[in-house]
Amino acid sequence: MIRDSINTGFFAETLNIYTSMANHSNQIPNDLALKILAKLPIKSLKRFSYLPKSWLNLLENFDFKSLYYENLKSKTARLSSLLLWRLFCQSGENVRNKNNVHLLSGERYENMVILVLPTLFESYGPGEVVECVNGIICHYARPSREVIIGLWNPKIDEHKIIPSGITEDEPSFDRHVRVHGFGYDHVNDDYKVIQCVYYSHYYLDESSPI
Amino acid sequence: MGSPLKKIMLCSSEKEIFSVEEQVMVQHSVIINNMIEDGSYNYEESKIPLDCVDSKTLKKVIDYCTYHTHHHNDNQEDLEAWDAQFLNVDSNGLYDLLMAANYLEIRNLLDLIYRTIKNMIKGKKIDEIRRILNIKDHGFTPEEEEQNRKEYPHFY
Repeated sequence: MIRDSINTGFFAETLNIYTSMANHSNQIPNDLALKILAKLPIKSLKRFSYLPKSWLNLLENFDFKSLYYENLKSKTARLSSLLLWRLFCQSGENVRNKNNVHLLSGERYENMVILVLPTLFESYGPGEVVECVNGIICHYARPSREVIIGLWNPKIDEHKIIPSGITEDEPSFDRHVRVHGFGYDHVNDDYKVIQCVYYSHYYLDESSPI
Repeated sequence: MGSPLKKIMLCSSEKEIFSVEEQVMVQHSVIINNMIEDGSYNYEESKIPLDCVDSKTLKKVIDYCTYHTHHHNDNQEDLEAWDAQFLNVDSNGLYDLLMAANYLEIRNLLDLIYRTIKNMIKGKKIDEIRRILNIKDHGFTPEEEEQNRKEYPHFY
Protein backbone atom coordinates (compact mmCIF):
# COMPACT_ATOMS: atom_id res chain seq x y z
CA MET A 1 0.00 0.00 0.00
CA ILE A 2 2.78 2.40 0.92
CA ARG A 3 4.54 1.71 -2.34
CA ASP A 4 1.33 2.34 -4.25
CA SER A 5 0.81 5.74 -2.76
CA ILE A 6 4.41 6.80 -3.34
CA ASN A 7 4.11 5.64 -6.90
CA THR A 8 0.92 7.51 -7.58
CA GLY A 9 2.37 10.62 -6.03
CA PHE A 10 5.39 10.60 -8.26
CA PHE A 11 3.40 9.88 -11.37
CA ALA A 12 0.96 12.65 -10.56
CA GLU A 13 3.85 15.05 -10.14
CA THR A 14 5.37 13.94 -13.41
CA LEU A 15 2.06 14.24 -15.20
CA ASN A 16 1.66 17.90 -14.38
CA ILE A 17 4.81 18.67 -16.25
CA TYR A 18 4.02 16.88 -19.49
CA THR A 19 0.31 17.06 -19.90
CA SER A 20 0.38 15.91 -23.48
CA MET A 21 2.49 14.71 -26.37
CA ALA A 22 0.60 17.05 -28.67
CA ASN A 23 3.52 19.36 -29.28
CA HIS A 24 5.36 16.62 -31.03
CA SER A 25 4.87 16.34 -34.74
CA ASN A 26 4.77 12.56 -34.66
CA GLN A 27 2.09 10.20 -33.55
CA ILE A 28 3.06 7.12 -31.52
CA PRO A 29 3.34 4.17 -33.93
CA ASN A 30 0.36 1.86 -33.84
CA ASP A 31 2.16 -1.23 -32.56
CA LEU A 32 3.54 0.69 -29.57
CA ALA A 33 0.19 2.36 -28.90
CA LEU A 34 -1.50 -1.06 -28.79
CA LYS A 35 1.00 -2.22 -26.18
CA ILE A 36 -0.04 0.74 -24.02
CA LEU A 37 -3.74 -0.01 -24.57
CA ALA A 38 -3.19 -3.62 -23.54
CA LYS A 39 -2.34 -2.35 -20.05
CA LEU A 40 -5.65 -0.54 -19.60
CA PRO A 41 -8.58 -1.95 -17.65
CA ILE A 42 -10.86 -3.95 -19.94
CA LYS A 43 -13.85 -1.80 -19.04
CA SER A 44 -12.32 1.23 -20.72
CA LEU A 45 -11.34 -0.55 -23.93
CA LYS A 46 -14.62 0.11 -25.69
CA ARG A 47 -14.01 3.84 -25.28
CA PHE A 48 -10.45 3.50 -26.57
CA SER A 49 -11.66 1.65 -29.65
CA TYR A 50 -13.26 4.94 -30.84
CA LEU A 51 -9.97 6.90 -30.79
CA PRO A 52 -9.06 6.25 -34.40
CA LYS A 53 -11.27 4.22 -36.67
CA SER A 54 -8.58 1.57 -37.12
CA TRP A 55 -9.00 0.51 -33.47
CA LEU A 56 -12.74 -0.17 -33.77
CA ASN A 57 -12.31 -3.92 -33.93
CA LEU A 58 -9.58 -4.02 -31.33
CA LEU A 59 -11.36 -6.59 -29.20
CA GLU A 60 -11.63 -8.94 -32.16
CA ASN A 61 -7.99 -8.51 -33.16
CA PHE A 62 -6.14 -11.74 -32.44
CA ASP A 63 -2.74 -10.12 -31.77
CA PHE A 64 -4.26 -7.59 -29.43
CA LYS A 65 -6.22 -10.27 -27.60
CA SER A 66 -3.11 -12.35 -26.97
CA LEU A 67 -1.18 -9.25 -25.89
CA TYR A 68 -3.97 -8.41 -23.49
CA TYR A 69 -4.15 -11.95 -22.19
CA GLU A 70 -0.38 -12.01 -21.54
CA ASN A 71 -0.70 -8.82 -19.49
CA LEU A 72 -3.60 -10.25 -17.55
CA LYS A 73 -1.68 -13.42 -16.74
CA SER A 74 1.26 -11.43 -15.39
CA LYS A 75 -0.99 -9.67 -12.90
CA THR A 76 -1.78 -11.40 -9.65
CA ALA A 77 -4.72 -13.72 -9.33
CA ARG A 78 -6.44 -11.63 -6.69
CA LEU A 79 -7.27 -9.05 -9.34
CA SER A 80 -9.46 -11.47 -11.23
CA SER A 81 -13.11 -11.92 -10.46
CA LEU A 82 -15.45 -14.88 -10.56
CA LEU A 83 -18.90 -15.33 -12.01
CA LEU A 84 -21.25 -17.42 -9.96
CA TRP A 85 -24.48 -18.55 -11.52
CA ARG A 86 -27.20 -19.80 -9.22
CA LEU A 87 -30.29 -21.48 -10.49
CA PHE A 88 -33.22 -21.88 -8.10
CA CYS A 89 -35.52 -24.63 -9.24
CA GLN A 90 -38.97 -24.66 -7.78
CA SER A 91 -41.48 -27.40 -8.19
CA GLY A 92 -45.15 -26.90 -8.78
CA GLU A 93 -47.15 -25.38 -11.57
CA ASN A 94 -46.59 -21.87 -12.94
CA VAL A 95 -43.48 -21.33 -10.90
CA ARG A 96 -40.62 -19.83 -12.87
CA ASN A 97 -37.06 -20.86 -12.14
CA LYS A 98 -35.05 -18.03 -10.66
CA ASN A 99 -31.65 -17.16 -12.09
CA ASN A 100 -29.04 -15.14 -10.30
CA VAL A 101 -25.63 -14.30 -11.68
CA HIS A 102 -23.22 -12.87 -9.14
CA LEU A 103 -19.89 -11.21 -9.69
CA LEU A 104 -17.42 -12.12 -6.95
CA SER A 105 -14.28 -10.05 -6.51
CA GLY A 106 -11.71 -9.18 -3.89
CA GLU A 107 -8.86 -11.10 -2.31
CA ARG A 108 -11.18 -13.68 -0.78
CA TYR A 109 -14.02 -13.05 -3.21
CA GLU A 110 -15.79 -11.25 -0.39
CA ASN A 111 -17.46 -8.66 -2.61
CA MET A 112 -20.59 -10.00 -4.23
CA VAL A 113 -22.71 -8.09 -6.70
CA ILE A 114 -25.85 -9.42 -8.37
CA LEU A 115 -25.61 -8.70 -12.09
CA VAL A 116 -28.64 -7.34 -13.86
CA LEU A 117 -28.78 -9.06 -17.22
CA PRO A 118 -29.76 -7.02 -20.27
CA THR A 119 -33.29 -7.31 -21.56
CA LEU A 120 -33.72 -9.74 -24.46
CA PHE A 121 -37.22 -8.77 -25.42
CA GLU A 122 -39.29 -5.80 -24.39
CA SER A 123 -41.55 -6.51 -21.41
CA TYR A 124 -40.01 -9.96 -21.17
CA GLY A 125 -36.88 -9.22 -19.18
CA PRO A 126 -33.54 -10.99 -19.20
CA GLY A 127 -34.87 -14.52 -19.63
CA GLU A 128 -33.09 -17.61 -18.36
CA VAL A 129 -29.39 -18.30 -18.13
CA VAL A 130 -28.05 -21.27 -20.13
CA GLU A 131 -24.44 -21.18 -19.03
CA CYS A 132 -21.55 -18.88 -18.03
CA VAL A 133 -18.28 -19.59 -19.86
CA ASN A 134 -15.06 -17.54 -19.54
CA GLY A 135 -17.00 -14.59 -18.19
CA ILE A 136 -19.57 -14.67 -20.97
CA ILE A 137 -23.18 -15.30 -20.04
CA CYS A 138 -25.54 -16.99 -22.47
CA HIS A 139 -29.23 -16.44 -21.81
CA TYR A 140 -32.47 -16.83 -23.71
CA ALA A 141 -36.10 -15.87 -23.68
CA ARG A 142 -39.14 -17.27 -25.45
CA PRO A 143 -41.63 -14.46 -25.89
CA SER A 144 -43.36 -16.33 -28.71
CA ARG A 145 -42.72 -19.56 -30.55
CA GLU A 146 -39.29 -18.23 -31.50
CA VAL A 147 -36.47 -18.25 -29.02
CA ILE A 148 -34.21 -15.23 -28.55
CA ILE A 149 -30.65 -15.98 -27.46
CA GLY A 150 -28.24 -13.39 -26.15
CA LEU A 151 -24.57 -13.37 -25.16
CA TRP A 152 -23.44 -10.84 -22.59
CA ASN A 153 -19.96 -9.93 -21.45
CA PRO A 154 -20.49 -7.97 -18.22
CA LYS A 155 -16.85 -6.81 -18.05
CA ILE A 156 -17.11 -4.73 -21.18
CA ASP A 157 -20.91 -4.54 -21.08
CA GLU A 158 -21.31 -5.84 -24.59
CA HIS A 159 -24.49 -7.64 -25.45
CA LYS A 160 -25.20 -9.52 -28.65
CA ILE A 161 -28.37 -11.19 -29.85
CA ILE A 162 -27.75 -14.31 -31.90
CA PRO A 163 -29.51 -14.14 -35.28
CA SER A 164 -32.48 -16.46 -35.32
CA GLY A 165 -34.17 -18.30 -38.14
CA ILE A 166 -31.65 -20.97 -38.96
CA THR A 167 -34.45 -23.50 -39.33
CA GLU A 168 -37.71 -23.32 -41.21
CA ASP A 169 -41.20 -24.57 -40.67
CA GLU A 170 -42.17 -27.87 -42.28
CA PRO A 171 -45.73 -28.42 -43.51
CA SER A 172 -47.91 -30.24 -41.00
CA PHE A 173 -45.19 -30.17 -38.34
CA ASP A 174 -44.89 -28.01 -35.28
CA ARG A 175 -41.43 -26.57 -34.82
CA HIS A 176 -39.96 -26.16 -31.38
CA VAL A 177 -36.45 -24.85 -30.69
CA ARG A 178 -34.62 -25.62 -27.47
CA VAL A 179 -31.37 -24.08 -26.32
CA HIS A 180 -29.20 -27.04 -25.53
CA GLY A 181 -25.89 -25.60 -24.41
CA PHE A 182 -23.22 -22.94 -24.65
CA GLY A 183 -19.45 -23.42 -24.73
CA TYR A 184 -16.04 -22.36 -25.98
CA ASP A 185 -14.68 -23.94 -29.17
CA HIS A 186 -10.91 -23.83 -28.70
CA VAL A 187 -10.18 -25.01 -32.25
CA ASN A 188 -11.88 -22.02 -33.83
CA ASP A 189 -11.34 -19.69 -30.84
CA ASP A 190 -15.02 -18.88 -30.77
CA TYR A 191 -18.12 -19.47 -28.69
CA LYS A 192 -20.94 -21.71 -29.80
CA VAL A 193 -24.56 -22.15 -28.83
CA ILE A 194 -26.16 -25.50 -29.53
CA GLN A 195 -29.83 -25.42 -30.36
CA CYS A 196 -31.99 -28.47 -30.72
CA VAL A 197 -34.93 -28.26 -33.11
CA TYR A 198 -37.93 -30.55 -32.63
CA TYR A 199 -40.59 -31.13 -35.26
CA SER A 200 -43.72 -32.67 -33.87
CA HIS A 201 -46.41 -34.05 -36.15
CA TYR A 202 -49.85 -32.44 -35.87
CA TYR A 203 -51.76 -35.70 -35.92
CA LEU A 204 -49.61 -38.29 -34.26
CA ASP A 205 -48.15 -35.89 -31.70
CA GLU A 206 -44.82 -37.70 -31.74
CA SER A 207 -41.71 -35.64 -31.22
CA SER A 208 -38.67 -36.43 -33.27
CA PRO A 209 -35.55 -34.33 -33.06
CA ILE A 210 -33.84 -33.62 -36.36
CA MET B 1 28.66 -11.46 -22.13
CA GLY B 2 31.70 -9.17 -22.24
CA SER B 3 34.02 -8.33 -19.40
CA PRO B 4 32.79 -5.50 -17.15
CA LEU B 5 35.51 -3.01 -17.96
CA LYS B 6 35.32 -3.18 -21.71
CA LYS B 7 33.89 -0.11 -23.39
CA ILE B 8 31.81 0.16 -26.53
CA MET B 9 31.14 3.21 -28.70
CA LEU B 10 27.66 4.45 -29.56
CA CYS B 11 27.16 7.12 -32.20
CA SER B 12 24.13 9.45 -32.05
CA SER B 13 22.28 10.98 -35.00
CA GLU B 14 24.46 14.09 -34.58
CA LYS B 15 27.52 11.83 -34.93
CA GLU B 16 28.50 12.41 -31.31
CA ILE B 17 30.38 9.44 -29.84
CA PHE B 18 29.43 8.02 -26.44
CA SER B 19 31.71 5.55 -24.72
CA VAL B 20 29.80 3.19 -22.43
CA GLU B 21 30.68 0.17 -20.33
CA GLU B 22 29.83 -2.79 -22.50
CA GLN B 23 28.15 -4.62 -19.64
CA VAL B 24 25.70 -1.77 -19.12
CA MET B 25 24.36 -1.87 -22.67
CA VAL B 26 24.58 -5.65 -23.10
CA GLN B 27 22.42 -6.20 -20.02
CA HIS B 28 19.67 -3.86 -21.16
CA SER B 29 19.57 -3.64 -24.93
CA VAL B 30 18.62 -6.81 -26.81
CA ILE B 31 19.99 -5.34 -30.06
CA ILE B 32 23.41 -4.48 -28.63
CA ASN B 33 23.60 -7.79 -26.80
CA ASN B 34 23.02 -9.58 -30.12
CA MET B 35 25.68 -7.49 -31.85
CA ILE B 36 28.30 -8.30 -29.23
CA GLU B 37 27.34 -11.97 -29.08
CA ASP B 38 27.49 -12.60 -32.80
CA GLY B 39 30.91 -10.90 -32.96
CA SER B 40 29.88 -8.17 -35.38
CA TYR B 41 31.29 -5.52 -33.04
CA ASN B 42 34.99 -4.75 -33.41
CA TYR B 43 36.39 -3.25 -30.19
CA GLU B 44 39.20 -1.44 -32.05
CA GLU B 45 37.16 0.28 -34.71
CA SER B 46 33.40 -0.17 -34.41
CA LYS B 47 31.00 2.57 -33.45
CA ILE B 48 27.37 1.49 -33.26
CA PRO B 49 25.44 3.99 -35.39
CA LEU B 50 22.11 5.02 -33.86
CA ASP B 51 20.84 7.28 -36.62
CA CYS B 52 17.38 7.73 -35.16
CA VAL B 53 18.52 8.59 -31.62
CA ASP B 54 19.72 12.13 -30.91
CA SER B 55 22.48 12.90 -28.40
CA LYS B 56 20.16 14.21 -25.70
CA THR B 57 18.01 11.07 -25.82
CA LEU B 58 21.00 8.74 -26.08
CA LYS B 59 22.53 10.32 -22.99
CA LYS B 60 19.27 9.71 -21.10
CA VAL B 61 19.11 6.11 -22.29
CA ILE B 62 22.70 5.49 -21.19
CA ASP B 63 21.93 7.10 -17.81
CA TYR B 64 18.99 4.75 -17.38
CA CYS B 65 20.95 1.61 -18.28
CA THR B 66 23.94 2.64 -16.15
CA TYR B 67 21.83 3.35 -13.09
CA HIS B 68 19.85 0.14 -13.38
CA THR B 69 23.02 -1.93 -13.88
CA HIS B 70 24.70 -0.57 -10.75
CA HIS B 71 21.59 -0.29 -8.56
CA HIS B 72 19.71 -3.46 -9.42
CA ASN B 73 20.02 -4.58 -5.80
CA ASP B 74 18.39 -1.43 -4.43
CA ASN B 75 14.94 -1.79 -2.97
CA GLN B 76 11.99 -1.50 -5.31
CA GLU B 77 10.71 1.76 -3.86
CA ASP B 78 14.00 3.59 -4.40
CA LEU B 79 14.22 2.33 -7.96
CA GLU B 80 10.67 3.42 -8.71
CA ALA B 81 11.32 6.84 -7.24
CA TRP B 82 14.43 7.15 -9.42
CA ASP B 83 12.46 6.03 -12.50
CA ALA B 84 9.73 8.59 -11.88
CA GLN B 85 12.34 11.33 -11.55
CA PHE B 86 14.07 10.03 -14.69
CA LEU B 87 10.87 10.32 -16.74
CA ASN B 88 10.28 13.87 -15.56
CA VAL B 89 10.65 15.15 -19.11
CA ASP B 90 8.49 17.07 -21.57
CA SER B 91 6.28 15.39 -24.17
CA ASN B 92 8.93 15.46 -26.89
CA GLY B 93 11.45 13.95 -24.52
CA LEU B 94 9.06 11.15 -23.60
CA TYR B 95 8.30 10.44 -27.24
CA ASP B 96 12.01 10.37 -28.16
CA LEU B 97 12.75 8.03 -25.25
CA LEU B 98 9.93 5.72 -26.30
CA MET B 99 11.27 5.49 -29.85
CA ALA B 100 14.85 4.98 -28.66
CA ALA B 101 13.90 2.29 -26.15
CA ASN B 102 11.89 0.55 -28.85
CA TYR B 103 14.75 0.77 -31.36
CA LEU B 104 17.35 -0.53 -28.91
CA GLU B 105 14.87 -3.02 -27.40
CA ILE B 106 15.38 -1.97 -23.81
CA ARG B 107 12.48 -3.89 -22.31
CA ASN B 108 12.33 -2.48 -18.78
CA LEU B 109 12.59 1.10 -20.03
CA LEU B 110 9.89 0.43 -22.64
CA ASP B 111 7.65 -1.02 -19.99
CA LEU B 112 8.22 1.99 -17.75
CA ILE B 113 7.27 4.38 -20.57
CA TYR B 114 4.20 2.32 -21.50
CA ARG B 115 3.01 2.44 -17.90
CA THR B 116 3.62 6.18 -17.71
CA ILE B 117 1.61 6.89 -20.86
CA LYS B 118 -1.08 4.48 -19.69
CA ASN B 119 -1.43 6.53 -16.52
CA MET B 120 -1.67 9.71 -18.61
CA ILE B 121 -4.64 8.42 -20.62
CA LYS B 122 -6.42 6.22 -18.07
CA GLY B 123 -9.91 7.48 -17.25
CA LYS B 124 -9.71 10.36 -19.73
CA LYS B 125 -12.30 11.27 -22.36
CA ILE B 126 -11.69 10.59 -26.06
CA ASP B 127 -11.06 14.23 -27.02
CA GLU B 128 -8.40 14.51 -24.35
CA ILE B 129 -6.75 11.17 -25.17
CA ARG B 130 -6.57 12.15 -28.84
CA ARG B 131 -4.74 15.28 -27.76
CA ILE B 132 -2.41 13.38 -25.43
CA LEU B 133 -1.56 10.70 -28.01
CA ASN B 134 -1.48 13.32 -30.76
CA ILE B 135 -4.04 11.51 -32.91
CA LYS B 136 -4.89 14.12 -35.53
CA ASP B 137 -6.54 11.95 -38.13
CA HIS B 138 -8.98 9.61 -36.43
CA GLY B 139 -10.25 8.25 -39.76
CA PHE B 140 -13.98 8.65 -39.06
CA THR B 141 -16.06 10.67 -41.52
CA PRO B 142 -17.74 13.74 -39.95
CA GLU B 143 -21.05 11.85 -40.11
CA GLU B 144 -19.62 8.76 -38.38
CA GLU B 145 -17.96 10.94 -35.74
CA GLU B 146 -21.24 12.72 -35.06
CA GLN B 147 -23.06 9.40 -34.83
CA ASN B 148 -20.48 8.04 -32.35
CA ARG B 149 -20.75 11.16 -30.22
CA LYS B 150 -24.53 10.79 -30.16
CA GLU B 151 -24.39 7.11 -29.32
CA TYR B 152 -21.70 7.33 -26.62
CA PRO B 153 -21.81 10.91 -25.27
CA HIS B 154 -20.04 9.82 -22.06
CA PHE B 155 -16.98 8.71 -24.06
CA TYR B 156 -16.26 12.24 -25.34
